[in-house]
Amino acid sequence: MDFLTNLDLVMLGSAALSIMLGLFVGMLFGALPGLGLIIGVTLLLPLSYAMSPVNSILMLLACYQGAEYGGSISAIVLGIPGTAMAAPIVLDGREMAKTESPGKALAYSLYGSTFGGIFGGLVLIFFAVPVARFALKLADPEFFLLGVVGLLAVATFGAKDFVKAMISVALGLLAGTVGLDLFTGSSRLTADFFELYEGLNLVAVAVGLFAFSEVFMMLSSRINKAYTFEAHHMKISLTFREMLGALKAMISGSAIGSFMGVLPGVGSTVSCWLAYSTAKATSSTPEKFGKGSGEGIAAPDAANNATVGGALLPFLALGIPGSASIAIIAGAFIIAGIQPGPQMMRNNPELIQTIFIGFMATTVGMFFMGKALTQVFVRALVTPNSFLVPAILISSLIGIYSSKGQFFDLWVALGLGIAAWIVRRLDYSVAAFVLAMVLTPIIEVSFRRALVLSQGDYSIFYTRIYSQVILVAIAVVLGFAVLKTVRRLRDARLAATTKEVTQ
Amino acid sequence: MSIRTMNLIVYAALSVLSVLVIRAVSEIPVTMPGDVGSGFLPGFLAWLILGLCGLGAVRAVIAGDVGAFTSEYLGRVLITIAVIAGFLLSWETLGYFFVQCFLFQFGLFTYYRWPHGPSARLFAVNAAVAAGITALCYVTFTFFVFVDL
Repeated sequence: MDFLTNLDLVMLGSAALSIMLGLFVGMLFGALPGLGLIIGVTLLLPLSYAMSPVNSILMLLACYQGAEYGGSISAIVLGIPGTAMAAPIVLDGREMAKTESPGKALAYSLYGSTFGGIFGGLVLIFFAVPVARFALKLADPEFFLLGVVGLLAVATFGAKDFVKAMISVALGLLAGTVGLDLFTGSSRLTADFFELYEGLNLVAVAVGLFAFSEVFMMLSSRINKAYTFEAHHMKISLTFREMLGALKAMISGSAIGSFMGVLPGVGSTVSCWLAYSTAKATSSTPEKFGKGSGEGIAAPDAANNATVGGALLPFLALGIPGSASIAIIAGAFIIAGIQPGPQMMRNNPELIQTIFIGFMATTVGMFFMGKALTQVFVRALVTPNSFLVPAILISSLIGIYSSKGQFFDLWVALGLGIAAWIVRRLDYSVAAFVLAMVLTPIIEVSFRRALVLSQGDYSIFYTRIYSQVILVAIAVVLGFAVLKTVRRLRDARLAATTKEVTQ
Repeated sequence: MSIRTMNLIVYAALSVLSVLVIRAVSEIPVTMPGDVGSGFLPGFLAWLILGLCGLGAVRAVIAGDVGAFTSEYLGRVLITIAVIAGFLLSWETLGYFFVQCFLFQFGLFTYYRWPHGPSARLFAVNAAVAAGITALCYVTFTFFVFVDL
């Protein structure tokens, strides 16, 4: 009731506008092949400087939700997934678009996304407070170890090459140490540039690594290619019977998405494929999968959007972001001077309640905006990259400059963009880099504060029961990484031998 | 250039960076009892990167050649990078952001769409789109984000 009495119409209006802006940008960037979720979130981040913390957080969350659905639009209409997470939707979405109608396929996608979003939101609402309450029992050694396990998981599960992913993580952590040391006030790795005393600008780093490098990637392909499609039968609606038919798939997809979202480094790319195969295995009509099954569209879409709520859980409750997108959303908290985690849940309950309600509002908003504007986003698909590239470049440059008003940051972003364009093609992970950079303060401060408190005694990291549990998790992740690397080397050797034999 | 050579170049560059970091943080003193000091984490990470680069280099050599590291339309990427750098320099020294913003976009649109063949329509469309985006940026950043560009 406290929350309701504090409601302010102006606040409500500005929050609604922020959500609509986030949804619009998210759906648009999700729909356009090659752009996607992270670039959408990255380009919106600088606006956080001119907004209230709540509005900027809701805008970025709406963008996240919108992009998850937007990725399915191009998957269904063009057969090209707008995001990696929408890849399984091509299988049935494209087929249904050809044999029945694109509108029906988009409707399955939208209904699935909305169901998944609400399911993920409920998971977040019901579990965030208990998890945060439990997290109050954790101390610095555990937070340090949680940060480490998060980074190891991202390097192991979210990247192709473990060694290169670990180098990316180490470089990200190194980038996070640039600037004044929080403990002693001495400057580190600033090379006497006063612009670096507050550390590297997260907006410049994120835009450089994601937006600039993606633009250079786009330039390395045919940029004048215009997609064509027939925009007939675009009515986005399902009958009650059709909706009921896909309900089981939506529930299983949402449960998988929420669970996988909580795990760092796994995210929607894995959960959507798992949701697809689970829906197929449990369906009463598995023979329809791959031939235009509504369940085959709804399940992965529900998983994608449920992942958002799941991914927010460890971030809000523990302060540990588990993916690059959440790390960039964490930027909005950093800009507002808010430290997510159990203390925020305890000391700032109004903010948490607003985020929860706003999160559900983003899902509902996504449904209505999807119904009303999907046809607009479909038409945007014909925009060739030759128009998109300069537009993205200029909005990126203004975004970086507006964050701190420093030209230095623009040069940093350009340099990082060029470097990322080269190393991304060698399987380095820019997502792991950004995540590590955001996690650096948590990891370093927890590590050093624990040591100061224990007067330099390292046993503080393994004597408490919670630390021991997290250490076991670290051992499991490392074991998996070793197995994965050995398997990769064996496959590479086998491929080389086969190549030699055939020659 | 082969992927293996490119990998080795990147490992070498990262190793040089790591050595520079180790040198930069080696002189930072530890001032608090129990603390590892400001230089510990950057130093540790630099050593870790050195070790991983060594491991990666050995692996790259053993794996042999796995293909060529090529980039299609490399000239277009390099010209775009040069145009961005030129735009930044020009913006920093001359100002007049929105005029330059229009010219930057019009120039890039025209360069990218030149294969369509030069025509009055092409120039008109490019100018119209560049003007539209510039106007949108002006309204958004002047009246909503309050940034003085």
